[in-house]
Amino acid sequence: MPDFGTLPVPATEAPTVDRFVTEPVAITDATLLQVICEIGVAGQLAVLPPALHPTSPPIAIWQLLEVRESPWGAFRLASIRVGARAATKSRSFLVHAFVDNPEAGAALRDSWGFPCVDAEVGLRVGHDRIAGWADVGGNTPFDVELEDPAPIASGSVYYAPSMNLARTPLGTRLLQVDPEYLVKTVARGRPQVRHHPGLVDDRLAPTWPISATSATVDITLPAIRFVCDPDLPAAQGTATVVPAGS
Amino acid sequence: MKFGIVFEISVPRPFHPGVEKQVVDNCIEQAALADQLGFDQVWAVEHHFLEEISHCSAPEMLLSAIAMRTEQIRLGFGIAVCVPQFSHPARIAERAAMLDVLSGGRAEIGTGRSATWTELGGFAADPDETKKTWDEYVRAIPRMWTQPTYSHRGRSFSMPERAIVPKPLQDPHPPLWVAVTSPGTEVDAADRGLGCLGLVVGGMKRQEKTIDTYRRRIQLCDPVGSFVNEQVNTVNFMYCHEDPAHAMKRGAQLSDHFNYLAPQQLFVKEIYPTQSYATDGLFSALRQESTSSGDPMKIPDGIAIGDPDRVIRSLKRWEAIGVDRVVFILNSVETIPQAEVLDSLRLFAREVMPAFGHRPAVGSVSADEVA
Repeated sequence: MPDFGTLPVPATEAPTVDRFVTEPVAITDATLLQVICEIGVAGQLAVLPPALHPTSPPIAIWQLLEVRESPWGAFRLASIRVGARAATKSRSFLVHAFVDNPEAGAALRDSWGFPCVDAEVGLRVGHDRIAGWADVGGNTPFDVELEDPAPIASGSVYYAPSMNLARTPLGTRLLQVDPEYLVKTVARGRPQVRHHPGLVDDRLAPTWPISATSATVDITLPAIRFVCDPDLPAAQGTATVVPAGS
Repeated sequence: MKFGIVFEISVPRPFHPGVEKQVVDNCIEQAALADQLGFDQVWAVEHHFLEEISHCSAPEMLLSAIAMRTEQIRLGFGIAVCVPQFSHPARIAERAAMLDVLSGGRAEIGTGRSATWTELGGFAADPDETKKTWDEYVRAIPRMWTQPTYSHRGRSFSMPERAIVPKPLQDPHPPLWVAVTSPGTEVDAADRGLGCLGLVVGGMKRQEKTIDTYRRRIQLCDPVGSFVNEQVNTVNFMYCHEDPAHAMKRGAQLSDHFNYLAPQQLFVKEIYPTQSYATDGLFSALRQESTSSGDPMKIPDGIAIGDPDRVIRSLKRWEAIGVDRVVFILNSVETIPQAEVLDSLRLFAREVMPAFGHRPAVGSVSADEVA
């Protein structure tokens, strides 16, 4: 049996989700910058809850999402996830989220369990590089870059569904947040991450670059259909909260 | 139809001292029995850094040990990863030739390019390049075996003129295969005159079409070696027992463990967007096939798990669509006790092989006689 995460869930801060969202929210023509790097093995295990297996090798995923129109107006969301498996399913565990629009932050926090922190979030798209960063009170937790973007086939990029820790009416649960992505264009380039210790979890420090992509996407934020007890293996602890097809 | 076995060397946690030796010893014992029972081939994969699911990073060494314990069974080295960061092609040619010499001319060589970031990233290999390097390797290796000396200026490697020794014992050289786990690789195999190894692409209907494409296309091939190896070799799980309920229970354990462990690796397509890797590796289609019923207690028809009659029916389906050879995964993280694995092999040889024209091997009449 593969290893499981060792995060002490009861001691971990998590957003409160009073009711599971049942209506998807569609967002069109967003820009999504994604950078993936390997991280340390011990750090990954410590960051993941016991429901999830680590990937082999351990990875972290930095995302910058720029949304021009949404029910909450324009916003930018910066996030860091850790690669994981829920039993055999490809997943990521959301560790940090920074948002530049408090209304969007509240919606993402209250409906999907994003642990949003108010921040300045930047995304600069150039022909030579695409850069993204978060800034909290003058401090930059991380910044990422994609260097030398070159177009690739839109079907080749993959976004792992997220598992977001939240206090829910069922208790503390991992919410399965698996947006639908319609990728319209995508470019790939060399990844770069600058990680600033002390401002984000030091265990997420990148150790080896893997890939960087920037895409134009339509995203449908989903209804919450599955939740998982973070202290039980996902194969045993997963429950349906909305009947399939409803 | 010919039958064989394939080793991943799947090691259960915790990795206490001696556990890997026990698993390797069990593999060698299984291969020795398979040889006595009339199985045709034993394959050993090349994988690196894949904890639990495959500790088989030096397959030719395992096969050399097996060669010393066996007489007839052919020894499949592969897939050998044809990526420069893993091995120089001369090293693959040398190691394969030495295995052929040691075994008295029983080596077969499977080629491939790996599918996991776990492995490719571990060697800092470029996933965009591996199809190209594989192509260069499969054209070079047969000439390294057959020419007195070899030199090359190429994309993935260059070398001045050298004698690459030893030469294989088989004349002109061992059969060459390629792992076919992505749609379209059967065309690459056919065009180069290579055997299709571990072919599991989609379900049975898709497989039939793939084999038909391969058979038609290979008639017009420009072989990279000195001969055309037109064969289709698929991979399957196998557990055979007289009691169907016990067979299903044990067989489900085998496939469930394998199917659980394989996706823990990071596949290239998940994290490195490239058209070079459209599917997962590690027998992804076999994993899909074996879970296609959606019911963990129901083994799909094409999986060779069950009592002898059911296993015969499963394999007849593969035979009917043109599969020449089947190699079996016998265990995963030692979930099936070794004695039961050996009994399953004996029962298969006694009851299943004759249905495919194999004469029972001496000693396969009863389990006790072979033990």
